[in-house]
Amino acid sequence: MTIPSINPNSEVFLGNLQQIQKRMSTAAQQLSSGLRVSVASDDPDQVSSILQLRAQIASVQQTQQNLSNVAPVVTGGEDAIQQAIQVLDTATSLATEGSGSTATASQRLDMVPQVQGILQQLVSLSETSMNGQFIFSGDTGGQPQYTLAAGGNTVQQMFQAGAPGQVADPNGVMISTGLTAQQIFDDQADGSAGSGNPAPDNVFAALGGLLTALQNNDSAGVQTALGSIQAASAHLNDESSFYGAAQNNLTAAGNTASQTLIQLQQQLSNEQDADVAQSTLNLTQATTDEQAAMAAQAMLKPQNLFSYLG
Amino acid sequence: MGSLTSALLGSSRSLDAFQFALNVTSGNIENASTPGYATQAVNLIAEPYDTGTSVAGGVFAGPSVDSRDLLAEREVWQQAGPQGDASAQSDALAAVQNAMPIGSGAGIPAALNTFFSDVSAWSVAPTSGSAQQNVLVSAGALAQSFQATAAAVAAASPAVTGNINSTVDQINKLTGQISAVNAEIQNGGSGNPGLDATLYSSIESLSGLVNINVLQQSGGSVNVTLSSGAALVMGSQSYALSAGNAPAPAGSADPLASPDIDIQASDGSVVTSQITSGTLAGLLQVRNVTIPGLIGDPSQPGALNSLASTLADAVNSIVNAGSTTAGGAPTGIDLFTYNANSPSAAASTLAINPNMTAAQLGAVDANGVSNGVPLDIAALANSTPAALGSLTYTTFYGNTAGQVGSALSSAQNNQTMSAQSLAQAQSMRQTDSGVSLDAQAVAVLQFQAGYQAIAKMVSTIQTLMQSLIQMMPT
Repeated sequence: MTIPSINPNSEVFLGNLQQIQKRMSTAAQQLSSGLRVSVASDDPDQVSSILQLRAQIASVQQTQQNLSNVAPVVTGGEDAIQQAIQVLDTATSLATEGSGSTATASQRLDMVPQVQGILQQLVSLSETSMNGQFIFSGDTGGQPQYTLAAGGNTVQQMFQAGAPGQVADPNGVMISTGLTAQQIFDDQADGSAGSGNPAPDNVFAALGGLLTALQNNDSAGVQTALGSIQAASAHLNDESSFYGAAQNNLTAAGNTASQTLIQLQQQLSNEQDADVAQSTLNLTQATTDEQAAMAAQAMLKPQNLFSYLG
Repeated sequence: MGSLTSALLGSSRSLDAFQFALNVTSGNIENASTPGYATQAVNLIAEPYDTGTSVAGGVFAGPSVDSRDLLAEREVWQQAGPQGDASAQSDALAAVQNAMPIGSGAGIPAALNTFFSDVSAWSVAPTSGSAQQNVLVSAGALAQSFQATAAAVAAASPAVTGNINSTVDQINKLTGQISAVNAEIQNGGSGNPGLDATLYSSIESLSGLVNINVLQQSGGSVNVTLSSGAALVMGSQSYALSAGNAPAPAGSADPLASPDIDIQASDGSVVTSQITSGTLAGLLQVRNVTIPGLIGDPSQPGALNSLASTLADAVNSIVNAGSTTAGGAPTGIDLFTYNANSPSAAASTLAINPNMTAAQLGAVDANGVSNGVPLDIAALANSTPAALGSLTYTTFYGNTAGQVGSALSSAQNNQTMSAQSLAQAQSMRQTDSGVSLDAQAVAVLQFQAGYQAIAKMVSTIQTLMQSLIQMMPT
């Protein structure tokens, strides 16, 4: 229950003193926390903006982490394709040698194990993994998409992989970060996910054709396979350029993220952080005001005329 | 001899008059600190004086004059209401604001950020069991944060309701006191400064609790009504207010939600809307408007519940359409659950689906994108659902918290300004009708001097009469 005031002047003084002490408390709190806005009532109009900036900063920081996590995968993909290109160069040499008119059937048969080894290397490259995930297996990273079939002459597709993942840049633009083993090594003429209609630049098909021609001592077939291997090599170079572009995109996104983060942190600081110099000044002024008010009140003599009677 | 006798009688009456004046002054001094007391002034009236008829004159004390200024009193009552209103809101809203933290790493905003970050991390490792588990953990933490915030806001409600009940009790106690004083005044106590002090002190206290209209009656009693006219005190009869749960409005979508508080007059009529000032109005504003605006009542879901249900529905629609393998069937499993039958319970019941395991979090969306689900969920951070006024989830929470902060800031500012206005009104009243010890000291000296002079006069008359008696032949 409110007790009616019996000394309004004291109430006014105490009210003003409370105001001064509130200013002191606010300034001290800002100096100790470094924040201008600690609770919503400190600046209600800025609360939404501050929270949204914090959310954006968290998002950009996570984007940086994502980009950092994805970069090795992209680099790994690029490295694997480069190795595949080099392996195909070896196959090209063998095919060139095997397609020559001087090559004998025995020599062609001797080349078969080498080409089988090359095919096995390519399958191994298609099984490249990082952190337990097969990087060319699309949405099914837990297992490789291709394996070498029994006999070592052909490759078996284990499953049809879904589209590989994308990573968002700080602006929400998606960056494709990988290709499937099928896109790289088992290109299809109709662009389908199946494996029954190989394109002319199909890596596995080119090597399979070479193996068959060598085993059959088919000079013309070897010559045809040579053309296919060269087309497959060109295809790998095209796919390699995809990874190069992806790396460039990741680098650019990382730079954008860093710049965006700095800008957001600066905006957040402007909106939520205390101006230390101003807070110090406010505290000093309030302290001086309090001392002056107390001193002035103390100088008010409490005596009334009764003090002078008798 | 006759003249001396009449002079002596006159002096005797004058001594009585000054004795009365000193008594009044003493009463003023003694009640200088009594709430509601108004200075009583002495009205000395000259006796007729006529030497021709041996009328010796003198002075007698008329009835004391009450210095109470009703305009000044009304100004105090006018200012006490806003002060009580702002003070009550300031205290109650502080608890509500604390329930909705905005600090870095605290409350729903931080839990939202963590959830969206973990989902974003899942997007670059869509088949990673640890990434899926992290999403489940942060989703659980987000749900827990909603529950904790809703519980903290709800916890403020009983405290405010308790204050409403105690305020109504105070109002009834004060109206009872006023009616009792009215009865004493009507039974012969009119003009009693003590009764008046009790009466006006009670009215001032009452004016800080609820908006009132005071009608002076002949004899000094008062009738008190709410500003709208509902009777609180009529003569010696007081009419009690009562507080209780408001019935759910017709067609309520959530009749089981926590009801608002209604104030009823003694005749059972609802007078809640007539309570527009004072502590009771401030408490009702927080209890019936601010808190329901956050956690709902039978007529609205509340901002926190809208936020919780909108977020849960959006996430669920993405998650249950996802699959764990390309071309696989949608999992059809929701990530979040809440009580959809009670819109005001969404936040307090939000939880992760107990049937959902990390392995069941399918990352492949309906288009076959291997990380489409986490990307779509992460994109919700920047989405602006119409159900939330086309604001992002974080901005909606910020606006809601900002509204509480704005109300609190406004209440605190109003409290400061109204306290100063009230103190000024009280100061003006003190100037008009309060006891000035300086003035009373002057009065004491004045009446003392008069008393002493008359005493000397009596002594002189006594000496003269003795001389006359001695001159009489024996």
